[in-house]
Amino acid sequence: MSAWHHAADLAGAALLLVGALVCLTGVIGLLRLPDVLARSSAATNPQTLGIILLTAGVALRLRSWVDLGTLALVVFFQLLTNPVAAHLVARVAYRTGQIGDCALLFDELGGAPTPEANRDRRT
Amino acid sequence: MTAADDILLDAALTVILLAGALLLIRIWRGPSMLDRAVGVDVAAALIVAGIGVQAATTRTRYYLSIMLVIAFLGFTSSVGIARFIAVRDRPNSPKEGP
Amino acid sequence: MSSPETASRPRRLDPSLIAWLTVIWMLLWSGPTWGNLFSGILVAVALCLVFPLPAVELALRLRPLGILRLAGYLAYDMVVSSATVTRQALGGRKRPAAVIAVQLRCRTDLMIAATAVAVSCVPGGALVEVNAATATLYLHMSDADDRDAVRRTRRDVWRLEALVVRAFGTRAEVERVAADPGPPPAPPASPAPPAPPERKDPGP
Repeated sequence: MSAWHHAADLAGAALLLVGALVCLTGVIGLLRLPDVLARSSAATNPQTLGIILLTAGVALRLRSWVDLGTLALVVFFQLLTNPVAAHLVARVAYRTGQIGDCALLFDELGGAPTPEANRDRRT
Repeated sequence: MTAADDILLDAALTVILLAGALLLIRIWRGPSMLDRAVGVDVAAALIVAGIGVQAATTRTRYYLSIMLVIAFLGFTSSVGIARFIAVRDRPNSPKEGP
Repeated sequence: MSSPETASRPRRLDPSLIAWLTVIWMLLWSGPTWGNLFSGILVAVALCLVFPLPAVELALRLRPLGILRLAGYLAYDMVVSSATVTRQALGGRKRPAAVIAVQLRCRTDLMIAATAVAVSCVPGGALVEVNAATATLYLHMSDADDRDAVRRTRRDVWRLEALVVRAFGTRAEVERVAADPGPPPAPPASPAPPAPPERKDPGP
Protein backbone atom coordinates (compact mmCIF):
# COMPACT_ATOMS: atom_id res chain seq x y z
CA MET A 1 0.00 0.00 0.00
CA SER A 2 2.78 2.32 0.87
CA ALA A 3 4.44 1.66 -2.45
CA TRP A 4 1.29 2.78 -4.24
CA HIS A 5 1.19 5.99 -2.25
CA HIS A 6 4.81 6.55 -3.06
CA ALA A 7 4.24 6.06 -6.76
CA ALA A 8 1.21 8.36 -6.73
CA ASP A 9 3.23 11.04 -4.98
CA LEU A 10 5.99 10.79 -7.52
CA ALA A 11 3.61 10.80 -10.48
CA GLY A 12 1.78 13.79 -9.01
CA ALA A 13 4.98 15.74 -8.60
CA ALA A 14 6.00 14.89 -12.16
CA LEU A 15 2.61 16.03 -13.46
CA LEU A 16 2.98 19.28 -11.56
CA LEU A 17 6.32 19.90 -13.22
CA VAL A 18 4.97 19.06 -16.68
CA GLY A 19 1.99 21.34 -16.18
CA ALA A 20 4.25 24.17 -15.09
CA LEU A 21 6.42 23.64 -18.16
CA VAL A 22 3.38 23.78 -20.44
CA CYS A 23 2.34 27.04 -18.77
CA LEU A 24 5.85 28.32 -19.42
CA THR A 25 5.60 27.51 -23.14
CA GLY A 26 2.39 29.52 -23.25
CA VAL A 27 4.11 32.50 -21.69
CA ILE A 28 7.02 32.18 -24.11
CA GLY A 29 4.51 32.23 -26.95
CA LEU A 30 2.98 35.31 -25.40
CA LEU A 31 6.38 36.99 -25.51
CA ARG A 32 7.48 35.92 -28.96
CA LEU A 33 4.42 36.06 -31.17
CA PRO A 34 3.90 39.17 -33.27
CA ASP A 35 0.31 40.34 -32.82
CA VAL A 36 -2.50 40.35 -30.31
CA LEU A 37 -4.64 37.65 -31.87
CA ALA A 38 -1.81 35.16 -32.09
CA ARG A 39 -0.78 35.99 -28.55
CA SER A 40 -4.28 35.54 -27.28
CA SER A 41 -4.68 32.09 -28.75
CA ALA A 42 -1.15 31.27 -27.65
CA ALA A 43 -2.02 32.23 -24.14
CA THR A 44 -5.30 30.35 -23.93
CA ASN A 45 -4.45 26.83 -24.96
CA PRO A 46 -1.20 26.03 -23.16
CA GLN A 47 -2.58 27.79 -20.12
CA THR A 48 -5.66 25.58 -20.01
CA LEU A 49 -3.66 22.44 -20.72
CA GLY A 50 -1.09 23.36 -18.10
CA ILE A 51 -3.75 23.94 -15.48
CA ILE A 52 -5.36 20.59 -16.29
CA LEU A 53 -2.08 18.71 -15.92
CA LEU A 54 -1.14 20.57 -12.78
CA THR A 55 -4.53 19.95 -11.24
CA ALA A 56 -4.24 16.27 -11.98
CA GLY A 57 -0.93 16.34 -10.16
CA VAL A 58 -2.48 18.01 -7.12
CA ALA A 59 -5.30 15.44 -7.11
CA LEU A 60 -2.79 12.60 -7.21
CA ARG A 61 -1.03 13.99 -4.19
CA LEU A 62 -4.07 14.83 -2.10
CA ARG A 63 -6.06 11.65 -2.89
CA SER A 64 -9.46 12.49 -1.49
CA TRP A 65 -12.78 12.51 -3.30
CA VAL A 66 -13.92 15.90 -2.07
CA ASP A 67 -10.70 17.50 -3.22
CA LEU A 68 -11.05 15.73 -6.54
CA GLY A 69 -14.46 17.36 -6.92
CA THR A 70 -13.06 20.80 -6.14
CA LEU A 71 -10.22 20.32 -8.59
CA ALA A 72 -12.59 19.09 -11.28
CA LEU A 73 -14.59 22.26 -10.75
CA VAL A 74 -11.40 24.33 -11.12
CA VAL A 75 -10.73 22.67 -14.47
CA PHE A 76 -14.35 23.07 -15.51
CA PHE A 77 -14.32 26.79 -14.87
CA GLN A 78 -10.99 27.21 -16.61
CA LEU A 79 -12.36 25.43 -19.66
CA LEU A 80 -15.49 27.55 -19.57
CA THR A 81 -14.03 30.98 -18.89
CA ASN A 82 -10.81 31.03 -20.89
CA PRO A 83 -12.58 30.89 -24.27
CA VAL A 84 -14.85 33.75 -23.14
CA ALA A 85 -11.90 35.98 -22.38
CA ALA A 86 -10.06 34.91 -25.54
CA HIS A 87 -13.09 35.57 -27.69
CA LEU A 88 -13.70 39.02 -26.23
CA VAL A 89 -10.07 40.00 -26.68
CA ALA A 90 -10.07 38.71 -30.26
CA ARG A 91 -13.30 40.51 -31.04
CA VAL A 92 -12.11 43.84 -29.71
CA ALA A 93 -8.75 43.39 -31.45
CA TYR A 94 -10.44 42.72 -34.77
CA ARG A 95 -12.84 45.58 -34.41
CA THR A 96 -10.22 48.11 -33.47
CA GLY A 97 -7.95 46.98 -36.26
CA GLN A 98 -5.12 45.59 -34.15
CA ILE A 99 -4.65 42.51 -36.26
CA GLY A 100 -1.00 42.65 -37.04
CA ASP A 101 1.12 44.51 -39.53
CA CYS A 102 0.27 42.68 -42.70
CA ALA A 103 -3.24 42.99 -44.05
CA LEU A 104 -5.63 40.10 -44.06
CA LEU A 105 -5.40 37.82 -47.05
CA PHE A 106 -9.17 37.73 -47.25
CA ASP A 107 -11.90 38.62 -44.84
CA GLU A 108 -15.21 36.88 -44.99
CA LEU A 109 -16.61 38.91 -42.14
CA GLY A 110 -16.04 42.25 -43.82
CA GLY A 111 -19.28 42.34 -45.74
CA ALA A 112 -21.51 40.96 -43.08
CA PRO A 113 -21.55 42.94 -39.86
CA THR A 114 -23.66 41.33 -37.23
CA PRO A 115 -26.36 43.11 -35.26
CA GLU A 116 -24.21 42.93 -32.17
CA ALA A 117 -21.35 44.61 -34.00
CA ASN A 118 -23.59 47.43 -35.09
CA ARG A 119 -24.83 47.95 -31.59
CA ASP A 120 -21.35 47.97 -30.12
CA ARG A 121 -19.95 50.25 -32.76
CA ARG A 122 -22.31 52.99 -31.74
CA THR A 123 -20.89 53.16 -28.24
CA MET B 1 8.13 12.47 0.87
CA THR B 2 11.40 11.74 -0.80
CA ALA B 3 14.17 13.77 -2.29
CA ALA B 4 12.90 13.19 -5.84
CA ASP B 5 9.52 14.61 -4.90
CA ASP B 6 11.14 17.65 -3.37
CA ILE B 7 13.26 18.26 -6.42
CA LEU B 8 10.29 17.96 -8.78
CA LEU B 9 8.12 20.28 -6.71
CA ASP B 10 10.85 22.87 -6.37
CA ALA B 11 11.46 22.69 -10.09
CA ALA B 12 7.75 23.23 -10.77
CA LEU B 13 7.70 26.25 -8.50
CA THR B 14 10.80 27.66 -10.17
CA VAL B 15 9.27 27.20 -13.61
CA ILE B 16 6.10 28.98 -12.53
CA LEU B 17 8.08 31.84 -11.06
CA LEU B 18 10.10 32.10 -14.27
CA ALA B 19 6.90 32.16 -16.30
CA GLY B 20 5.54 34.89 -14.05
CA ALA B 21 8.69 36.97 -14.52
CA LEU B 22 8.48 36.62 -18.29
CA LEU B 23 4.81 37.49 -18.15
CA LEU B 24 5.60 40.68 -16.27
CA ILE B 25 7.83 41.71 -19.17
CA ARG B 26 4.89 41.32 -21.53
CA ILE B 27 2.55 43.25 -19.26
CA TRP B 28 5.15 45.97 -18.86
CA ARG B 29 5.93 46.24 -22.54
CA GLY B 30 2.57 45.30 -24.05
CA PRO B 31 2.00 47.77 -26.81
CA SER B 32 -1.74 47.83 -26.43
CA MET B 33 -4.21 47.46 -23.62
CA LEU B 34 -5.35 44.15 -25.07
CA ASP B 35 -1.91 42.64 -24.64
CA ARG B 36 -2.09 43.55 -21.00
CA ALA B 37 -5.56 42.06 -20.76
CA VAL B 38 -4.26 38.76 -22.08
CA GLY B 39 -1.31 39.04 -19.73
CA VAL B 40 -3.52 39.58 -16.70
CA ASP B 41 -5.61 36.59 -17.71
CA VAL B 42 -2.51 34.40 -17.86
CA ALA B 43 -1.36 35.85 -14.55
CA ALA B 44 -4.51 34.56 -12.90
CA ALA B 45 -3.83 31.11 -14.31
CA LEU B 46 -0.25 31.24 -13.06
CA ILE B 47 -1.45 32.22 -9.60
CA VAL B 48 -3.78 29.22 -9.64
CA ALA B 49 -0.84 27.07 -10.70
CA GLY B 50 1.37 28.41 -7.93
CA ILE B 51 -1.27 27.83 -5.28
CA GLY B 52 -1.73 24.33 -6.68
CA VAL B 53 1.95 23.58 -6.23
CA GLN B 54 1.79 24.95 -2.71
CA ALA B 55 -1.25 22.80 -1.91
CA ALA B 56 0.49 19.73 -3.30
CA THR B 57 3.67 20.43 -1.36
CA THR B 58 2.07 20.97 2.00
CA ARG B 59 -0.89 18.63 1.31
CA THR B 60 -3.24 21.27 2.59
CA ARG B 61 -6.70 21.17 1.12
CA TYR B 62 -7.72 24.62 2.25
CA TYR B 63 -5.84 26.14 -0.64
CA LEU B 64 -8.18 24.47 -3.08
CA SER B 65 -11.09 26.79 -2.48
CA ILE B 66 -8.82 29.75 -3.18
CA MET B 67 -7.85 28.07 -6.45
CA LEU B 68 -11.52 27.61 -7.25
CA VAL B 69 -12.40 31.24 -6.64
CA ILE B 70 -9.49 32.57 -8.69
CA ALA B 71 -10.24 30.10 -11.47
CA PHE B 72 -13.73 31.37 -11.92
CA LEU B 73 -13.15 35.02 -11.26
CA GLY B 74 -9.77 35.42 -12.94
CA PHE B 75 -11.21 36.03 -16.37
CA THR B 76 -13.35 38.98 -15.32
CA SER B 77 -10.46 41.44 -15.31
CA SER B 78 -9.46 40.66 -18.85
CA VAL B 79 -13.08 40.74 -19.97
CA GLY B 80 -13.51 44.11 -18.35
CA ILE B 81 -10.41 45.49 -20.02
CA ALA B 82 -11.39 44.08 -23.39
CA ARG B 83 -14.89 45.35 -23.10
CA PHE B 84 -14.53 48.82 -21.70
CA ILE B 85 -10.98 50.07 -21.72
CA ALA B 86 -9.58 48.78 -24.98
CA VAL B 87 -11.90 51.01 -26.94
CA ARG B 88 -10.18 54.01 -25.47
CA ASP B 89 -6.91 53.48 -27.26
CA ARG B 90 -8.05 52.15 -30.57
CA PRO B 91 -5.28 53.36 -32.86
CA ASN B 92 -7.20 54.40 -35.96
CA SER B 93 -10.50 52.81 -36.74
CA PRO B 94 -10.58 52.18 -40.46
CA LYS B 95 -13.77 50.18 -40.25
CA GLU B 96 -15.77 53.00 -38.73
CA GLY B 97 -18.86 53.09 -40.90
CA PRO B 98 -20.87 56.19 -41.71
CA MET C 1 -36.46 27.35 -36.81
CA SER C 2 -36.42 27.69 -33.09
CA SER C 3 -36.79 24.47 -31.27
CA PRO C 4 -40.32 23.56 -30.31
CA GLU C 5 -39.87 22.61 -26.68
CA THR C 6 -40.47 26.03 -25.18
CA ALA C 7 -42.93 24.41 -22.83
CA SER C 8 -40.11 23.27 -20.54
CA ARG C 9 -39.28 26.81 -19.49
CA PRO C 10 -37.95 26.74 -15.95
CA ARG C 11 -39.84 28.38 -13.19
CA ARG C 12 -38.39 31.02 -10.96
CA LEU C 13 -36.89 28.50 -8.55
CA ASP C 14 -35.00 26.03 -10.67
CA PRO C 15 -34.13 23.00 -8.52
CA SER C 16 -31.18 21.97 -10.68
CA LEU C 17 -29.69 25.43 -10.40
CA ILE C 18 -30.13 25.36 -6.63
CA ALA C 19 -28.50 21.93 -6.45
CA TRP C 20 -25.57 23.13 -8.56
CA LEU C 21 -25.06 26.23 -6.42
CA THR C 22 -25.24 24.13 -3.28
CA VAL C 23 -22.59 21.75 -4.58
CA ILE C 24 -20.28 24.66 -5.34
CA TRP C 25 -20.94 26.12 -1.90
CA MET C 26 -20.09 22.84 -0.20
CA LEU C 27 -16.89 22.49 -2.20
CA LEU C 28 -15.92 26.05 -1.35
CA TRP C 29 -16.32 25.25 2.32
CA SER C 30 -14.21 22.16 1.65
CA GLY C 31 -16.42 19.27 2.50
CA PRO C 32 -19.93 17.88 2.49
CA THR C 33 -21.27 18.23 6.00
CA TRP C 34 -24.87 18.73 7.08
CA GLY C 35 -24.20 22.30 8.11
CA ASN C 36 -22.71 23.10 4.74
CA LEU C 37 -25.62 21.43 3.00
CA PHE C 38 -28.29 23.42 4.83
CA SER C 39 -26.52 26.75 4.66
CA GLY C 40 -25.77 26.09 1.00
CA ILE C 41 -29.41 25.45 0.18
CA LEU C 42 -30.36 28.56 2.11
CA VAL C 43 -27.84 30.71 0.23
CA ALA C 44 -28.80 29.20 -3.14
CA VAL C 45 -32.50 29.85 -2.62
CA ALA C 46 -31.79 33.39 -1.47
CA LEU C 47 -29.57 34.00 -4.51
CA CYS C 48 -32.19 32.65 -6.89
CA LEU C 49 -34.83 34.88 -5.33
CA VAL C 50 -32.73 38.02 -5.23
CA PHE C 51 -31.06 37.65 -8.63
CA PRO C 52 -33.53 35.83 -10.84
CA LEU C 53 -31.96 34.58 -14.06
CA PRO C 54 -33.69 35.01 -17.36
CA ALA C 55 -35.44 31.86 -18.44
CA VAL C 56 -32.88 30.18 -20.65
CA GLU C 57 -34.24 27.62 -22.99
CA LEU C 58 -32.27 24.58 -21.97
CA ALA C 59 -32.63 22.00 -24.69
CA LEU C 60 -29.93 19.88 -23.20
CA ARG C 61 -29.36 16.16 -23.13
CA LEU C 62 -26.33 14.67 -21.47
CA ARG C 63 -24.95 11.68 -23.30
CA PRO C 64 -22.07 10.10 -21.37
CA LEU C 65 -20.50 8.39 -24.37
CA GLY C 66 -20.62 11.55 -26.44
CA ILE C 67 -19.17 13.57 -23.59
CA LEU C 68 -16.29 11.10 -23.27
CA ARG C 69 -15.56 11.30 -26.99
CA LEU C 70 -15.75 15.08 -26.90
CA ALA C 71 -13.38 15.22 -23.95
CA GLY C 72 -10.93 12.93 -25.72
CA TYR C 73 -10.94 15.00 -28.88
CA LEU C 74 -10.62 18.23 -26.90
CA ALA C 75 -7.62 16.90 -25.02
CA TYR C 76 -6.01 15.81 -28.28
CA ASP C 77 -6.73 19.16 -29.93
CA MET C 78 -5.37 21.01 -26.96
CA VAL C 79 -2.08 19.11 -27.04
CA VAL C 80 -1.74 19.64 -30.79
CA SER C 81 -2.60 23.30 -30.42
CA SER C 82 -0.05 23.82 -27.68
CA ALA C 83 2.60 22.16 -29.81
CA THR C 84 1.65 24.32 -32.79
CA VAL C 85 1.83 27.49 -30.73
CA THR C 86 5.21 26.53 -29.37
CA ARG C 87 6.52 25.83 -32.85
CA GLN C 88 5.22 29.16 -34.11
CA ALA C 89 6.71 30.99 -31.15
CA LEU C 90 10.11 29.43 -31.64
CA GLY C 91 10.03 29.64 -35.43
CA GLY C 92 8.92 33.23 -35.57
CA ARG C 93 7.97 33.22 -39.25
CA LYS C 94 5.21 35.55 -40.33
CA ARG C 95 2.33 33.95 -42.18
CA PRO C 96 -0.49 35.82 -43.84
CA ALA C 97 -3.69 35.74 -41.84
CA ALA C 98 -7.32 35.75 -42.81
CA VAL C 99 -10.77 35.71 -41.33
CA ILE C 100 -12.86 32.79 -42.50
CA ALA C 101 -16.55 32.20 -41.99
CA VAL C 102 -17.76 28.78 -40.96
CA GLN C 103 -21.46 28.13 -41.10
CA LEU C 104 -22.70 25.74 -38.48
CA ARG C 105 -25.54 23.31 -38.92
CA CYS C 106 -27.08 23.47 -35.47
CA ARG C 107 -29.46 26.28 -34.65
CA THR C 108 -29.86 26.27 -30.88
CA ASP C 109 -28.13 29.08 -29.02
CA LEU C 110 -26.75 26.66 -26.47
CA MET C 111 -25.18 24.45 -29.12
CA ILE C 112 -23.68 27.43 -30.92
CA ALA C 113 -22.18 28.66 -27.67
CA ALA C 114 -20.82 25.24 -26.78
CA THR C 115 -19.31 24.84 -30.23
CA ALA C 116 -17.75 28.28 -29.96
CA VAL C 117 -16.18 27.34 -26.64
CA ALA C 118 -14.88 24.10 -28.09
CA VAL C 119 -13.52 25.82 -31.19
CA SER C 120 -11.20 27.90 -29.05
CA CYS C 121 -9.15 24.75 -28.73
CA VAL C 122 -8.65 24.35 -32.47
CA PRO C 123 -5.02 24.97 -33.31
CA GLY C 124 -4.25 28.36 -34.72
CA GLY C 125 -7.68 29.92 -34.74
CA ALA C 126 -9.08 32.79 -32.73
CA LEU C 127 -12.80 33.27 -32.63
CA VAL C 128 -13.45 36.81 -33.82
CA GLU C 129 -17.20 37.02 -34.14
CA VAL C 130 -20.27 34.88 -33.67
CA ASN C 131 -23.46 35.54 -35.55
CA ALA C 132 -26.13 33.71 -33.66
CA ALA C 133 -28.88 34.53 -36.15
CA THR C 134 -27.20 32.71 -39.02
CA ALA C 135 -25.17 30.36 -36.80
CA THR C 136 -21.90 31.46 -38.33
CA LEU C 137 -18.55 31.52 -36.62
CA TYR C 138 -15.84 33.86 -37.86
CA LEU C 139 -12.34 32.60 -37.19
CA HIS C 140 -9.09 34.44 -37.50
CA MET C 141 -6.41 32.03 -38.59
CA SER C 142 -2.77 32.30 -39.54
CA ASP C 143 -1.39 30.17 -42.39
CA ALA C 144 -4.18 31.39 -44.66
CA ASP C 145 -2.07 31.08 -47.81
CA ASP C 146 -2.15 27.35 -47.39
CA ARG C 147 -5.37 26.17 -48.96
CA ASP C 148 -5.21 22.85 -47.16
CA ALA C 149 -4.89 24.59 -43.82
CA VAL C 150 -8.04 26.61 -44.45
CA ARG C 151 -9.92 23.50 -45.44
CA ARG C 152 -8.60 21.65 -42.45
CA THR C 153 -9.68 24.40 -40.08
CA ARG C 154 -13.20 24.35 -41.50
CA ARG C 155 -13.36 20.60 -41.19
CA ASP C 156 -12.09 20.78 -37.62
CA VAL C 157 -14.86 23.20 -36.71
CA TRP C 158 -17.52 20.98 -38.26
CA ARG C 159 -16.11 17.92 -36.56
CA LEU C 160 -16.13 19.68 -33.22
CA GLU C 161 -19.69 20.81 -33.85
CA ALA C 162 -20.77 17.24 -34.52
CA LEU C 163 -19.01 16.06 -31.37
CA VAL C 164 -20.56 18.78 -29.22
CA VAL C 165 -24.04 18.13 -30.55
CA ARG C 166 -23.64 14.40 -30.03
CA ALA C 167 -22.58 15.06 -26.46
CA PHE C 168 -25.19 17.63 -25.45
CA GLY C 169 -27.71 18.10 -28.24
CA THR C 170 -31.30 17.06 -28.56
CA ARG C 171 -32.32 14.33 -30.94
CA ALA C 172 -33.39 16.80 -33.62
CA GLU C 173 -30.03 18.53 -33.53
CA VAL C 174 -28.15 15.26 -33.77
CA GLU C 175 -30.16 14.33 -36.82
CA ARG C 176 -29.49 17.70 -38.38
CA VAL C 177 -25.78 17.33 -37.85
CA ALA C 178 -25.70 13.75 -39.06
CA ALA C 179 -27.92 14.21 -42.09
CA ASP C 180 -26.48 17.27 -43.74
CA PRO C 181 -23.46 16.55 -45.88
CA GLY C 182 -22.37 20.10 -45.15
CA PRO C 183 -23.73 23.59 -45.08
CA PRO C 184 -23.88 25.70 -48.21
CA PRO C 185 -20.57 27.45 -48.75
CA ALA C 186 -20.12 30.97 -47.52
CA PRO C 187 -21.23 33.53 -50.08
CA PRO C 188 -18.37 35.99 -50.63
CA ALA C 189 -15.93 35.27 -53.40
CA SER C 190 -12.64 34.52 -51.74
CA PRO C 191 -9.32 33.29 -53.09
CA ALA C 192 -9.74 30.06 -51.22
CA PRO C 193 -13.18 28.73 -52.06
CA PRO C 194 -14.85 26.99 -49.18
CA ALA C 195 -14.44 23.43 -50.21
CA PRO C 196 -17.25 20.97 -49.79
CA PRO C 197 -16.53 19.22 -46.56
CA GLU C 198 -15.70 15.64 -47.29
CA ARG C 199 -16.58 14.61 -43.82
CA LYS C 200 -16.06 11.02 -42.93
CA ASP C 201 -17.78 10.77 -39.66
CA PRO C 202 -18.46 7.36 -38.35
CA GLY C 203 -22.14 7.05 -37.79
CA PRO C 204 -23.56 7.55 -34.36
